[in-house]
Amino acid sequence: MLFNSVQFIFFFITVTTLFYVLPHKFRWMLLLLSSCYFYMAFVPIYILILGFTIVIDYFAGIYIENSSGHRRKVFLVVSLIANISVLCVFKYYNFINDNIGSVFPYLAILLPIGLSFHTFQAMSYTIEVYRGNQKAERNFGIYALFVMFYPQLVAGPIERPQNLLHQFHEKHEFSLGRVSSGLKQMLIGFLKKLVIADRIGIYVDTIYNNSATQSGQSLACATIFFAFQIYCDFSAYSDIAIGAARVMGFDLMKNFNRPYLATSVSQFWRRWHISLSTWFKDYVYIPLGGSKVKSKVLVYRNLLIVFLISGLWHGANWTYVVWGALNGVLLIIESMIPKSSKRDNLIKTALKTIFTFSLICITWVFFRASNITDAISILGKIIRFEGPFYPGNPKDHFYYACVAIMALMFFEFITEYKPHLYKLLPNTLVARYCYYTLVAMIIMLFGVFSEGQFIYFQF
Amino acid sequence: MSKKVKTLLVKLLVLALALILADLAGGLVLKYLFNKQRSGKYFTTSHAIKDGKEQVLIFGNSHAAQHFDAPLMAKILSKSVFNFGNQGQSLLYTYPLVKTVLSRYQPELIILNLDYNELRYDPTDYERLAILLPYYHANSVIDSTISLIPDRAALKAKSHLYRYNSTLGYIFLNTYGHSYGKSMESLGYDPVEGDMCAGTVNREEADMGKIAFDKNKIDYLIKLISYIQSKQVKLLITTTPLIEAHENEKNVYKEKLLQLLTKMNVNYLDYGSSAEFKGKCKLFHDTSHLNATGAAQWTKTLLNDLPKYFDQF
Repeated sequence: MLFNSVQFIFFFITVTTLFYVLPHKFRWMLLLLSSCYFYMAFVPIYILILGFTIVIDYFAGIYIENSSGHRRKVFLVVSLIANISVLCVFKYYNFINDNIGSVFPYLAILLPIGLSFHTFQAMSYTIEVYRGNQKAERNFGIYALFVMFYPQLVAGPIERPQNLLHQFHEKHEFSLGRVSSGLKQMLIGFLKKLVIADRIGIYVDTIYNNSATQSGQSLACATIFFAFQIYCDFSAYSDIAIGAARVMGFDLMKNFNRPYLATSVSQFWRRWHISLSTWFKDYVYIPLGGSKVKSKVLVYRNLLIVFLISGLWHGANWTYVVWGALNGVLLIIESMIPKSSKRDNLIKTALKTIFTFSLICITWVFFRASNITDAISILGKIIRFEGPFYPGNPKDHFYYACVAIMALMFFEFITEYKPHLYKLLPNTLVARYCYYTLVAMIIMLFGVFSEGQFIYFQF
Repeated sequence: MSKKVKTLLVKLLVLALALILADLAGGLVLKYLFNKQRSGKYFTTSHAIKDGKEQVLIFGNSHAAQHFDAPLMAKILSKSVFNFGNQGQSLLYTYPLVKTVLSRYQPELIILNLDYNELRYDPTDYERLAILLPYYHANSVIDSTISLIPDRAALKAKSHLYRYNSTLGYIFLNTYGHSYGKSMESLGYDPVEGDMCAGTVNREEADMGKIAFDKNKIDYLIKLISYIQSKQVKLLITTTPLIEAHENEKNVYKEKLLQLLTKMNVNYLDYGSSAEFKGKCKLFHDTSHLNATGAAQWTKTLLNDLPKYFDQF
């Protein structure tokens, strides 16, 4: 079920109402059933894959906790192998097979939606139980709910058990403040998805789907637009997920923090897809030694490994691997540059932000292009920056996109650097209702209601 | 029910009322602005639905809009003419428009331009029917056509604002700014410039994929012809020239179209493989669209042929 569908609106209202109507002891059952329904609205049979990893990890968690010494590690490895195998079969089988000369037959299977997300969340559970940071969950239903909790099931945020699991045991009293704040965040998510991401996507698709015939200027513009499309699309999903969970009293972790205002690539990665970045930091980078290794070369190696895996996590295509590698290389180069202890002035901050954004846009070319050859050709055209510029047909999509991006960056800038300005706005009940009504009107008037999928669902 | 829940419900109710009021008020403002347009695809659609009174009417997709030089036709025929062709549209759009026009008055002649593949199922034809959303509740035919738009558009069209979704920029450009063409001055004719002589003419491959007839379009075509005939309005169906004729190729859609038109005894002028236009790059903007020069030549050819079908023309 898509968040941006009419079906979801009814689903959300029904589940939330029942959640507060039911006694606490039945609530997890309601959430589990509704999460199953939510997931099965995509491809019902794939719930079996999810069920398989849930069963393995549930028992792995208990066995890890009940065992000692070497046996603990064995159960952890079994759990990790089971999860990674599911990923390998459903996500990487054809990719690996293609790259070894098609030794095995082609497997005509659809990628289960959100597979990488819930697999990583499940892995974090067994790792944390192994590390002793989390007690193994004895209630199978609640453990299943931890993996399947519908708001974040198919596109995150990828939660840690320490943050989420205990919340399913706690009684959530109805709180007007939380419900209102959750609904607001959902509204912002819908605004970002329907008005910005999907609107920009029309132009981006037109240009990128015909990249061979498009000029450098048009491709440069489409790449910048794509940067905003993917940001608004993905952060919108996170906003709706966090908001929907908050309405029912659950706190999910923040996933984005104004990434395009980052003044360095390392800062960008502390602001972009935070739940995945911290996952890689906790479970890959630090176990490899992180930055506390003997030589700088080893730190660079660790960074590169993390970003290569991150690239591969996004998709079984060399474009994602190159995208990950490029980010890793940029971080390595950045770490070689000595940092000034002086605080940057406004101009320097602006220049750094623009430069960082430009670097990130270069990496997005590989993320968006269909293959490496196309990506290189697109980059070549962008560098030559030849015309003519194609504004799309009709042109108004292009103008909408420009206005939407400017408005987004204006609000992000205020939130980042001048948050006190928000206090100047009237905050009476009437004023707040006016804001909500205005946002709803903007969505109805400028939203794209084709119920387009979220980009990150494919991962 | 706890006090907190009651407070939330009251707040949500007030918000819902505010939203309904804003939707109604916003819809009224947009309707006013929408009707002020002087050019563009909505202008011609509005003209058909509301106030068009011309004697000769042209309907169809971009091949109609860009090929039938309505001012030239008006001058030669000494009759009022209007070109209601709209880019990317199909019979699904034409049918409610013709029905609406004929419910208002009786024109002398309707020219309906159809492509060979007109009866092919194409899901984008249904998405493009969104052009009719601002006319929701104009009449029952338009409403039933809107119900064909995917993603529950008919349900969303209950919102007055949604009916004008994505149109605001277009409204302003066609009211105050530069024109998209298709104005009252051009009588709906929307010529394109440039020819195909500069580059290599790439033969358009007829990749039809899996054969899928659109039952709605077939149904609409039959109903449309019957309705025009029942109103005793002269009807001519045309297919405009292509730079490369595909006369030797088997085209099941064309066969079905011809079969239907023959069965319904309709005058059909097929210029798709006309030698007068075939291979003449100077007359074409692309493989299937004539440029302004080509359109003028085609219009004259059509007008020369018209008396063969109808005495008073």
